[in-house]
Amino acid sequence: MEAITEIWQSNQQDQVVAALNTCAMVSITDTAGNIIFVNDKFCEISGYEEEELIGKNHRMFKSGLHPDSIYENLWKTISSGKVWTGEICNKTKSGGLVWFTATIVPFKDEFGIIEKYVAIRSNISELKAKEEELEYSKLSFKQLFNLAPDAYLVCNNEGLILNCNQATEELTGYSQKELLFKNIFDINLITKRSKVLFKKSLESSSAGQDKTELQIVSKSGKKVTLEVASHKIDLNNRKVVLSIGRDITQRNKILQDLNVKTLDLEMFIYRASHEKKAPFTTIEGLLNLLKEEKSSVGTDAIIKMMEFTLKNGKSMLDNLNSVRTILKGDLEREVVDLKNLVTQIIYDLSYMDNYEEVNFEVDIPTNFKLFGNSFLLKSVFLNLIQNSIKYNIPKTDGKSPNVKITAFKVGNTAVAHVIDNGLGIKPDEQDKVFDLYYRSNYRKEGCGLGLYITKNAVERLGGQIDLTSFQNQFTKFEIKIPLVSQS
Amino acid sequence: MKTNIVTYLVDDSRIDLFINQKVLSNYSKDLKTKAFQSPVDALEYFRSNLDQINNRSQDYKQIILIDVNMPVIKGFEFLNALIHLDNFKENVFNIYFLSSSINSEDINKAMSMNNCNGYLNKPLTKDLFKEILSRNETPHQCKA
Repeated sequence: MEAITEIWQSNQQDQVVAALNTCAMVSITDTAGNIIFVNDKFCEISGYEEEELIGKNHRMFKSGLHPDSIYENLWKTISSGKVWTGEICNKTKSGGLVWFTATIVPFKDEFGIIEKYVAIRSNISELKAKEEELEYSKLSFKQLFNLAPDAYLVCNNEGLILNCNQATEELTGYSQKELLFKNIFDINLITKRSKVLFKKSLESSSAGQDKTELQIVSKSGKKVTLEVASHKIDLNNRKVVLSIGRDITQRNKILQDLNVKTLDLEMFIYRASHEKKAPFTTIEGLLNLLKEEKSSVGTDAIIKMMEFTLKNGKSMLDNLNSVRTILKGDLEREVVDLKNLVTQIIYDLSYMDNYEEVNFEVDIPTNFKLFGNSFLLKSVFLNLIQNSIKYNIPKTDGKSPNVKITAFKVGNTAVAHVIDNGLGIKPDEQDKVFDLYYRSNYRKEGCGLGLYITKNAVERLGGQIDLTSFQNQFTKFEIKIPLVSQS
Repeated sequence: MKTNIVTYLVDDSRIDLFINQKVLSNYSKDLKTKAFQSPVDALEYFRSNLDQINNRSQDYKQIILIDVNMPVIKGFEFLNALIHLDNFKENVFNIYFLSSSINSEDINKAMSMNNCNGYLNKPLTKDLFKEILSRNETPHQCKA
């Protein structure tokens, strides 16, 4: 040991000091902190000349960045004879700040009494700046990640969840804790069919993004449709997949509604052009027959059919017009007396076959007033009462045809029933009868518009219509319309 | 050319059916017609009597006139169901659609269907019927 120290001292002390001088700032102070030695590196970095420093107290470099406790702790350490190491920021002559790692070693005399402190510093300002930059980018990444309105989910290509953002938590109802380091295929988040799709998008070798539509079930059981774009990301040879999901449940619903409306419209245009022509060709055919008919009985029959066809054609044109008005027209409200409206409709329908056989019961309080659109309300009740006459049973069946119309108020809703004891509607047809151009019965003349108009008119008034029916027993339509006050 | 003729009419409109029957009986008292206001009933008739109807074609030229726009079963669906009946034989019937629609979609659809001989516009007249009878009997030669 002695021998090594000997060699060290004699041969290499100078070289070690030289090496130290090239890479570190070295300063020596007395026990009060007054500078007695600085090396060139120290001068270079602090910006002072050696003469400016000797005799000055070390506290002149204080940056003001650290609390006093740090210096107290430093002095406590070194004055008790121990080595202090730490990171510290000093002020240069020009006022700039420099970060160091510092090691301060107390040197003692042969009696063990501290006579000076040797401080060795290395400049870590660049490192420190990089660290700060890293911290900043980490923070901003975290904020961007969490504030993104879309759900961000990072997993490996086997589905192990490595990270997710707040939007993911909100969308799925699961907390980050519940999701992290679970395999996405092991939790009941993605529906069975969508799992296959998602697996594919994780495994797919394409580097770009694949957009898939996935169904998920949130923690509370809500079904949500997501449009998911999966991006393959290479993080230092760690291959992960970032999936960005957007809730398109609402968008899909709107698209679907729009599709139905478009289909309705196309169907309407197509059919309307055909239907409009039908009565004309029938009249034309009847006219041909009329020219050749010799018997007056035959002529009368043909004329009757022409009248019937004309009447049907006219009512069909009226219906086509009402569809347009209901779908597009302005909704002007006025006070409508429901009892008067229904009574007038029943009177207007007296031209119908079987009308004389039907018993009408109108159970609507006098002065039952609605603030609504009279055209829409008339369409609703006209079509329903017309149907209940058309689809009634013949009197011969032991019971006599009956049509009952009632109305009453429940809270803020007007409820009306139109009930007949006629043919009824088959269970499998009940959800189709409101469709555009649906006709259930080939024995009855009809244009397939009546209940479509009714439903749309009721919806236009903000209400809803429901149907209960048993075949050969009864059909009951229930209309609920919110009461609107006149003000 | 066969002189005995039977015409099957399928149309949901009571009055159009009346017109067609009357036109045919005005054309010739010897014509046989069978009218169905319900395509379901018509299909049932063909289904349960198809063997006998097939045999009829030895003595009769058999024509079917189908309305396109019918509730429950549309004209096109009707023809499709008819040709898929067991024992349905080609060349037994001359099948035409008879419609007031001049929509090109309807006409193209009719033309593209197997066993459809043509697409006719309402109203049916004596002259139109005469023309059908004089047409070549081979199917697939559709003329509107």
